[in-house]
Amino acid sequence: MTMEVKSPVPPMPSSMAMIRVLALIALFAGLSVVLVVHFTDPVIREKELQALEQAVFKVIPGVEPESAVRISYSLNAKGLVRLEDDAAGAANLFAVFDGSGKLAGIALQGAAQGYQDVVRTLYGYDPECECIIGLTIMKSTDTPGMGDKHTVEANHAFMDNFRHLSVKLTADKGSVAHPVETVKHGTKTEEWQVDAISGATITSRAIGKGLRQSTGELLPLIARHLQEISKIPRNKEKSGTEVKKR
Amino acid sequence: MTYQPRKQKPITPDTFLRGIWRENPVFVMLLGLCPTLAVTNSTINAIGMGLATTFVLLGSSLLVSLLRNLIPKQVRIASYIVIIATFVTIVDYAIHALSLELYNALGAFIQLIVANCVILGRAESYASKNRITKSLVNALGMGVGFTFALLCLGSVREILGSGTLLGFPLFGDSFQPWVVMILPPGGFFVTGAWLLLFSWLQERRQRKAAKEEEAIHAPG
Repeated sequence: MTMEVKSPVPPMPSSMAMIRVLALIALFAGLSVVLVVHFTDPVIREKELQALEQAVFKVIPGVEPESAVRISYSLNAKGLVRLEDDAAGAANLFAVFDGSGKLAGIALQGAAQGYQDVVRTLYGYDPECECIIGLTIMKSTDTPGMGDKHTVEANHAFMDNFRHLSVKLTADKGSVAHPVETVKHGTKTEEWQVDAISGATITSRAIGKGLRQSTGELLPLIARHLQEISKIPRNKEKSGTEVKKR
Repeated sequence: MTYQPRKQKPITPDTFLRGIWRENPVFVMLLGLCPTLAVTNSTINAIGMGLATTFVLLGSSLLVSLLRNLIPKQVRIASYIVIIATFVTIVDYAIHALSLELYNALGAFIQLIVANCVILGRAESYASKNRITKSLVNALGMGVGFTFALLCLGSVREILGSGTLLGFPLFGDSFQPWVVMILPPGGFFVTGAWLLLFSWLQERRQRKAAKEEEAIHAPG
């Protein structure tokens, strides 16, 4: 007597059936992703531009965002290139002009490795006093409650370091005479030193290092192109309202 | 042998409620603990992550349930992952467009929703075996349960760790925040405390049920 043994494993479907289903799902996934990118990308760009604009005006004290004008540039050893607003994300220098068309300050970016990730800052530079006049943290994911963006920005004593931080150039304008230096909390003696936050020394050092590298690289180049940067482009004159419209 | 469709139980309040209490993904099943511990250092982060996960749960359950008779068993996990990843990408871009601050705060954990066991578990054990409406109701319950759990953790951690709730200060200037609560150890402490509370409630309910049963069967 023979017994028929039924296998518990279901029969294998044809490869075509599997390919068909996977292709259908992949098609749905592709279409959905394309659609969502198509509709959200302009909104994201606009919001990033707005956030950048707010940060730029924040680090240049004394300007009215309603009447001020921001011009974006890309500056490197090869030269100075003016960028339109839609390419502002690639800029590393933002010249800010007040309502009368006078250069109020230049916003520059700094970045250095912190405790957990790169700490990104945006700082204001005044070419007249050759000093840093304001700073904001663009990104810091260091220890929450100690070195994160909100905690650092809420520490008034630390932020006061950047109201007038000397970054004077040498006589030949080739380098910063006294590079920015972060010192232990309570030991600041010179006007180019940053008094660290007690308990967030690594974040403070990262901010100082970002400023040192950025100023060392960009300030001599700014000195070379200062005349060009100080002039407000003709098509931007009296265009303060365009800032408000966004 | 002829094919006989499996009889499905109707939708009951339990279909929705089990995800919130009896099968809560975090407090009972201990699933999705990675984002739970990582992003609950503030209430707004907890709400953001909870809603994002709920959206992905609903979307993936809808599609998996819709295609349940078409997807061959051999390629089901690959299919589920592609479906989940699609909804995660949608929610990732949507959060980026809605709030840059929330997007930066949640960081990589939005993309990591793809690997959240709660979602793949729902697709495999529920949506692939049930009708669309039932799967959606169950997914909504699970999403609400997950959001509730994140909210429980996020609010306690924010109140103790920052002295605020949804960013509004609760105590005076004299309050010294317990910074440890918004650090990773705080996540473990608060999760442990909530698990303790849930276990105690569950045990109390079981004891009560046992006592009632005993009273019914008692002689006289």
